[in-house]
This record gives sequence, structure tokens and C-alpha cells, in this order.
Amino acid sequence: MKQLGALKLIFGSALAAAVAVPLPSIAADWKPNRPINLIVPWAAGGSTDQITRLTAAQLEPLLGQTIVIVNQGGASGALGTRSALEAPKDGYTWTAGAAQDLGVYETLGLLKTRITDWHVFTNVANIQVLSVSANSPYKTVKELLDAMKAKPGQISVGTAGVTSTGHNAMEAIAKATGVKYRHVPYDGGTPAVLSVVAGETDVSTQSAVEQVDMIRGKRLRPLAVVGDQPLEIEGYGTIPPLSSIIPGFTAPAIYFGIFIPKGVPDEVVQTLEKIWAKNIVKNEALKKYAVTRGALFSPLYGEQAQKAVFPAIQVNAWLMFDSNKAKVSPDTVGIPRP
Amino acid sequence: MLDGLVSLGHAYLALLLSPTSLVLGLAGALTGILVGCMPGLSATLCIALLTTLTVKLPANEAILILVCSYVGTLYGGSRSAILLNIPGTAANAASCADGHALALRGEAGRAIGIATSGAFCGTFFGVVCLAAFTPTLAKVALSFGAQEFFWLALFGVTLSGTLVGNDPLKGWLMGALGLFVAQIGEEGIYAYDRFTFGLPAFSGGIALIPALIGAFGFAEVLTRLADPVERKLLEMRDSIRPRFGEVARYWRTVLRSGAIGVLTGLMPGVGEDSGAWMSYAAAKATTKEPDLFGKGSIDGLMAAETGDMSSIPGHMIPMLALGVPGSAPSAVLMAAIIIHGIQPGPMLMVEHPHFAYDMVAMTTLATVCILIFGLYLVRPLLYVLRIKHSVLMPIIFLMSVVGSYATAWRLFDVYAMLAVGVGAFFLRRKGYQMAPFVLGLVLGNLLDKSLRRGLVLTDGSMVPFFTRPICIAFASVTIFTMLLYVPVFNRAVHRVADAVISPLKSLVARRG
Amino acid sequence: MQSSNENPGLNEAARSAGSLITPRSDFIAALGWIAFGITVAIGSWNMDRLENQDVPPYAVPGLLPFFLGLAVVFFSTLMLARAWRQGALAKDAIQAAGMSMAERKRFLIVLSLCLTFGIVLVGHGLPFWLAGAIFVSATISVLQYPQRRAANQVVRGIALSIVIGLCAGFGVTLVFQEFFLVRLP
Repeated sequence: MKQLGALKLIFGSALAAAVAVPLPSIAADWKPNRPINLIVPWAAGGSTDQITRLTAAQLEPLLGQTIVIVNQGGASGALGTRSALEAPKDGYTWTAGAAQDLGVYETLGLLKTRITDWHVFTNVANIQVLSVSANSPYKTVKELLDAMKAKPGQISVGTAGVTSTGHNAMEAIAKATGVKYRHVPYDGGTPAVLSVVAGETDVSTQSAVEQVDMIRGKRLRPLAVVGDQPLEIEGYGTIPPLSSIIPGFTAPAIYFGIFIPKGVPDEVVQTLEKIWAKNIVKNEALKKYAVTRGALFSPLYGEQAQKAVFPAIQVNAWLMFDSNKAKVSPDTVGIPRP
Repeated sequence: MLDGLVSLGHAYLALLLSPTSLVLGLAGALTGILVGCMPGLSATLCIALLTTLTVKLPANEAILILVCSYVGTLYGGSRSAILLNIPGTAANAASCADGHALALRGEAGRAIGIATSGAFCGTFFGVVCLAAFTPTLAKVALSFGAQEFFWLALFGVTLSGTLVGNDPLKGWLMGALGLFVAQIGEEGIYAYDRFTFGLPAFSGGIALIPALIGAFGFAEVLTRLADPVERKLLEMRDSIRPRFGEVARYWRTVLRSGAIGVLTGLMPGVGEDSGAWMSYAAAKATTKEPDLFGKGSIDGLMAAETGDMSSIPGHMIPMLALGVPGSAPSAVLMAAIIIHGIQPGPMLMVEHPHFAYDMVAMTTLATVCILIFGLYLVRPLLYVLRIKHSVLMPIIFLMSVVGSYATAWRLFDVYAMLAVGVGAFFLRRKGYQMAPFVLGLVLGNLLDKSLRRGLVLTDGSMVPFFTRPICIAFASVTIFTMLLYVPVFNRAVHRVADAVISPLKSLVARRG
Repeated sequence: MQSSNENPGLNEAARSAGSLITPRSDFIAALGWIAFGITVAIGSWNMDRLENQDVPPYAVPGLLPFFLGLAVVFFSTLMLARAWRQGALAKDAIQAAGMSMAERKRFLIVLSLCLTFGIVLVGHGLPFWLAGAIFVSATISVLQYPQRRAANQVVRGIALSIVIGLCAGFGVTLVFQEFFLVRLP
């Protein structure tokens, strides 16, 4: 029986790697007999919380069981992740968030875990957008970068803090162009974006999800996508990629999803993989969320998900290391420099 | 404008003519009241849990339940504040002093009646503001920058230090202690752990709900049970009818508290609890009977209940107009609204022009629901009063333990609750009030971040903290409040005030 | 800072026998507060300034805690001075009344029962309903023991409290676990 389980695991992951091949039907379906706990390691109401609650609502009818969401904030998300890691490995405790956060806890010395210790089921990927206020004098990326070069450290960028994706995006731009800026941290993505609208700061590099309403409401002027792909926002138009101005500029997408610690029964993982392959890929509610909120709908699982999330982890971990925030070198915990 | 009125009319008709929505509204309000009665179960928790339970319903029905439970929770919280001296939610802490004093005098019914009428008028006043201001708001909230928030936080703690008890020095010490405890754990700017002694559990900080349950619940249990004399139990002989006669008598308090509640609701990060405290402070400053405050003042109870309830629609205004929720419960409410496919924010009036009016209609229905329950269904809940302390208090402690655990499922929160409770027990005996401590805990994070953010924005210059217009106002009121307790200054102020007021008085008297 | 007529509550209370708050007790408390404030200020001063992360000196994590420590020292020094002027150090200064023996005994019993429940019984494998039931039954039995013995109803009292305890334990567990879906410790 045990051997069979191991065999299934090998087969399962091998098959999951090949995208088009349907999942084996040998897996017995997992029928949870009590509510599942989904720990969101951030405060209620934030962007992680929103997408996780939406995904949980899509999973509930498929599993035939309630998913209870518990918010356990603290230590940049490491506290809640720790509870999920320490809970019994029975498949009834999950966690959620951005894969790039979970992947750097070991580098930061917060929690001894790696992304490969988890089964990753992604739902959307967020893209950062470089924006200024609608009445800002900077009409193009070039004008903004020239101004930053002319007045080093004077142009302020509002983000959700040094561990946020917005700060990472601005650091990537600074590294590629050599500009200096003033970093102003806020309590979260929405207040940071709002500070640009209100004129307290000049630039926002938060994710499109957090800016989309202000962009559509013509209160923010998006200059470029921080990456090499354009982004289309319903009701606004297309935002060009930064790589069209800075040739060769790339930045990995930030994948969000549900994480289940390895060591849970095989049927849990296989049932979820089946749900992801069959139902989530064509889920209308999640698709609609992505289209209207300026995110990329990207349901991935298994090896494919691991491959997709890793670049952002690499970038994030090395950024932390280079700015002296890391406790150990990412090299030593299996994250080579990108 | 006319379009708005037509939309509002449609929203009301649609809501009131549908029996389903009436039933759902009542169910939501009842759930809210029950949750509110139980110390430790906050509005945030209630809305969060109901969001998960109602996610399959159509958007408007689900949001209706959430809005009604939000209003119900805060209303229900005054029940345990009055009867047990334990606020059911953070927002009801201001109702404890006067409400419980009234209950001790055998006037629990009257206190509940006042709370009901205050809550009704407050929410109703807020709804009117919600209808009037949501479409035009966007600008005011944006004029609040880091420096303004810094003063707002300091102002709140300073004021609350002088509110309860008769020793502002001890109040301010407790306020500073609360602000300090709020600094424990990971700070939000550089993710640096402060005062955690290297223990990972401390990194999440001392959460508000366990601290609140400890300071009010556990400390109360200890105080009651340590008393060897089995006290006579509270009896409620009088009627719990809402007292609209008293509303008429205290119309100034009702209007003032309603306005303060809505204004505090408008400011992001300032919760319902601040709405209650600020209106309580304002009532104490202007009342004719300041001596009664804390000893069963009707004015005070009315102010606190009107202030916290009117801040609910107040929170909804920036939530709908800007997509910036004003408090934790409204943040969860906003998340729920987004889950149902409606994005609050500047585009709301363009994308979903009717939704703001639907919210107005829903909140009105919630107001009516709490009035109905206030009239008919609260009395059965009050059999709690007949139970002896030696039986009731252990059960309350049991609920306090679960309550502090229920939000985040962490045992650390239970230990934090126990520690705060034992500390509060001793401090209370020595004349230290818990309210400034709790407010400090609430505002500590805002104070820290807005101070440092303000300094980052100006390269370390303190000047804008004293030169921006709103800052000047907040700063002068804060400093003036503190100076009033310096005898020399106080006497000078009184001399000046007398010199100005007595001619005016005689002028008025002559005219009269 | 405060003359006698401006703080009637304190002095009046101090004069009545057996008061909990006296100038002397405030004086001692103020010393404790000052020590606390200094500790906080020193702790904040020595806190990592994160210079290697290019954090400007006006945005260091210890900034606000440092000022809070100073504020505590400031206010408690004022309290110290006030208590001193009110005669805290006079030879005939009124001692703050402690708890009476009966009160102290009851307090210690209640406190140890509560802490035993909160720290030992909860979260260490015992099902919550059972832990709750044990705590509630034990507390009620202990607290009502004197009256019950006087009325010669000890057995009845204990039986009743076990019934109440079981009801409370089950009730609370049911409401939170089944209705609010909290997974209790």
C-alpha cells in the first residue's frame, strides 16, 4: 500500500509536468468530512485576502465542504505560514499568498521552509505598473527617468513597504537605469496608490490590481508595465511594457495561489490537481476577476507551478540579500542568483 | 441630484417590497446582535464569517446580510457593556461607564432604551449623510496626509486620557503604555521586530481583541470574583422601551454625536471606537452635568451610542467613494463587496450607479431591524442577569478564552489576554483607566507610521507638522488640552474665559 | 503640579480609611513607571538603526518608542512630584489598604484557577469542551463551597456545578465550533 502511494506520487508529479496529458484516474477522490482551514497570513481585506476568498468560494462546491478562512498576520506572512506548516499533515490546513513571499522566508531567517516543501496551486499573477498622478508633469517614462536623474533622491515613490512587490519593482527599475528615488512606505497597496492620487508622493509601482480603479477613473496615468509584456486594462486600453523604453528589461510576474505543505495524503493533492486541471482553468469568476482587475489569470499546479513561481523568488531573495535584509545567502538555501 | 433621488426611491422600493430581503435583513441583524452581545466576537469577525457563509447568494442579498449584521453587532455590543460592564465590541467601551452605572442603579432597562434610541438616531443620521455625501466626497479624505494622521492619533490619545476617571496624568500614562504595547512586534515599514525578545510569537504583536478582552473581560471577572461578598444581582424592573422623549431632550447631543461619528468615520484608520470616544468627550465638554459623567449620565451614554453607530455609515462613505475603508469591519465589508463583483472607488458611480443608493437603502433597513429587536426581542436575552456571579463569571471567562482565540486561532493570543487582564486588574485598583490604554493600542500603529512617513517625505523636517492648516488645528487643540491641567495655565484660561463670557451672559440675560 | 483642591477625588479617597489609592501608593507607582520609561527609552536607543539598509536616522524603528519612553518618564515624574507635595513621604502618610485576608485568598484561588485553565488545560491535547467543563465546575464548586457548607448542601452544590460546567463546556464549544467554524484548541 505504501509502495503504491509512493508510486502514485512519482506518477502524479511526472504526469503533472506534462501539461496536456489528463490526470490518471487511479487516484481515489478526496472527500473532506469536516471544514478545511485556509490560513491567510495577511490582514483581512487586503489583496491576498480578496483573491483567496474568491478562490475558496470556487473550491467549496467542488469539494462539497466549507473552507474557513483565518487571517493570521505578522512577520511578513511567516507567522501564518508557520501555523500551516506545523498543523497536522491531514490536508485540512492550507495557506495562501504570493509565492515569492513564501520562497524567501528561509533567506530572511523567518521560517525554515522552501517553496519546494509545498504543493503550489496558483490562481492569478499580478503585474506591477509604473504610474504617476493624472496631473503630474511627467507624461512619459523618459520624462520621469530624466527628472529622477536630474534630481536624485527627490522624486518620491509610494509603496506598501520594503518587503512589498511595489518596492521590488522600483528597485528593479533603479537597478536597470541607475536612478535614485525617495522611498515612502505605506500600510498597504491601496493607501500607497492613494498617496499618489492625493499628491503626497509622485510615483506608484504597485500592482495593477491596486491601481486599476484609479487608472480607469483617470486619476492615475499609467506610464508603463514593469516587465516585457503589455497589459490590457478593460475600460482604459493597453499599457506599453517598460522593455520598449529600456531594451532587455524584464521582471517576473508575481504569482498568487494556495499552498499545501508536502506530506499530506496523496489523494488530497491529486483531487486538487484534478480540480485545477478540469474546473479552475475555465472558471468564469476567476477569469472575470483577472480581466477586470488587471491581473493575469494563470491557474497552474505541480511542477509547472513550481517553475512559474521560481523566477520571482530568485529576484526577491537576491534583492533582499543585496539590501542587507537577508540573514543567509540565497545560494545556501537553493536559490541561485538569476 | 434629481436622478439621485429617483435612484434612491427605486432602491428603497426594491428592498422594502421584497419579503426575502426583509427576512434576510432581520436574520443578519439578529446574528449581529447575538455576536455583539458576546464579548470578544467583533464586528470584523462576524462580517468575515458571514461573508464566507453567504458567498453563494446573489450580490445584493449577501451584502444586505453583511450590512445588517455590521449594524447589529455594534448595537448588540452595548448590551454587555451596560449589563456586564464588558464591551461586546471595541466600539462600545465608551458606553460601559455610564451604561453600567445606570444598570447598577436598577435602571438597566432605561439604559438599554437610551442605547436603542441613540443607536437608531445615530445610524439614521449617518444614513442621511451617506446618501448626501457619498457621490461628492472624494476630495476631503485626500487632504489628510501623514502629518495630519500623526496629530489625529496623538489628539485621540491625549483626549481619551482626560475622559474617564478624575486623574488625567494616569490617563496619559495609560495612553503612552497603550501606544508602547502597539509598537511590540513587526513594524510595518522595514519589517523589523521591535521588543519581541527574539520570540517569533511576539512578531505578530499584541492583537487588539485579546487585549480588549483582557482589559475589560478578564479583569472584570477577577474583580467580581475576588470580592468575597456575593453582591446583590442586577435587576431590571423598568421597561426597555426606546426613549425618544429623552432623544428630544438631548437633541443637541444626538446631533453633535451623529456629526462627530460621521466625521470620524470619514477618516481612514479611525474606527467606530474613536467615533464613540470623541462624541463622549465632546458631550462631557459641553454638558451641563459633567459631574454625572462616568456615574450614569444619560447624556454620556446617548453620546457614546449615537457616535459609534453614526460612524458606520460614516465609514461607508470613503469606502464607497474612494475604496478606502475607514475601519477593520468596513475593510472586510469592502472585500466582500469586491468578491461579489462590485468595485468600490471613484469609478463606482460610473460603473454601478445604483449601488451607492442600494447601500443607503440597506443601511436604513438595518436601522429599522435593530429598532424592532430593541423593542421586542432583547428582553429574553437578559435572563443572563438573574444568574449568580459565581456561576456567570467562570462562564464569561470561558468565553473570554475562546473569544481571544477565535479571531486568529493562536494560543499566544490567549496568553496575551491573560497577561493584559492580570495587569489591568491591578492597575484598575490603583485608579488607572483602561480606555486610554485601549485607544493607545488602536492608534499606536498609525502614530508610528505617520510620524516616520511624514519625516521621510520632508527629509526629516518637523516644520510641516506645525504649518499645514489641519495640523495647526489638531496641534493647538492637543496642546491646549494638556496645558489645561497645568494649574497656572488653567487659572489664566478661566480668568480670560470669565472676562469674555460674563459680559456676554449679562447681555443675553438682559435680552431674555 | 496639582494643589489639593484640584484633585478632590484623590484626597477625599485618601482620607477615608482603607483606601486603595494614597499619595504614598502613587509615589511608589511613579517610581515604577519611571523605571519602565527609562527601560523603554534605552531599549529603543539601542535598537538596530538598520544603517546597512540605508534607513535615514529619522525613520529608524526605535524613533517613536524612544519618545514614548521619554513621555512616560515625563508624566510619571509629574506624578512623583505631585505625590511628594501631597505628603507621600511624611511620617504619618496613609498606607494604601491592601486586600483583606478573605479577599486575597479568594483572589489567589480565582487567579490560579483561571491561569490553570488558560495555560495548562487549553491547547495541550484535552478536548476543549472537557477542559471548559472541568474549569467551570471546579470554579463554581470552590467559590460556592462556604455557602453550600453552611446550608449543608455540599454534594448538591457540586452536582449542580458539574451540570452547569458540562452545559457551558458543550454550549460554548458547540456555538464556536459548529456555528462559527472555529477549530478550538
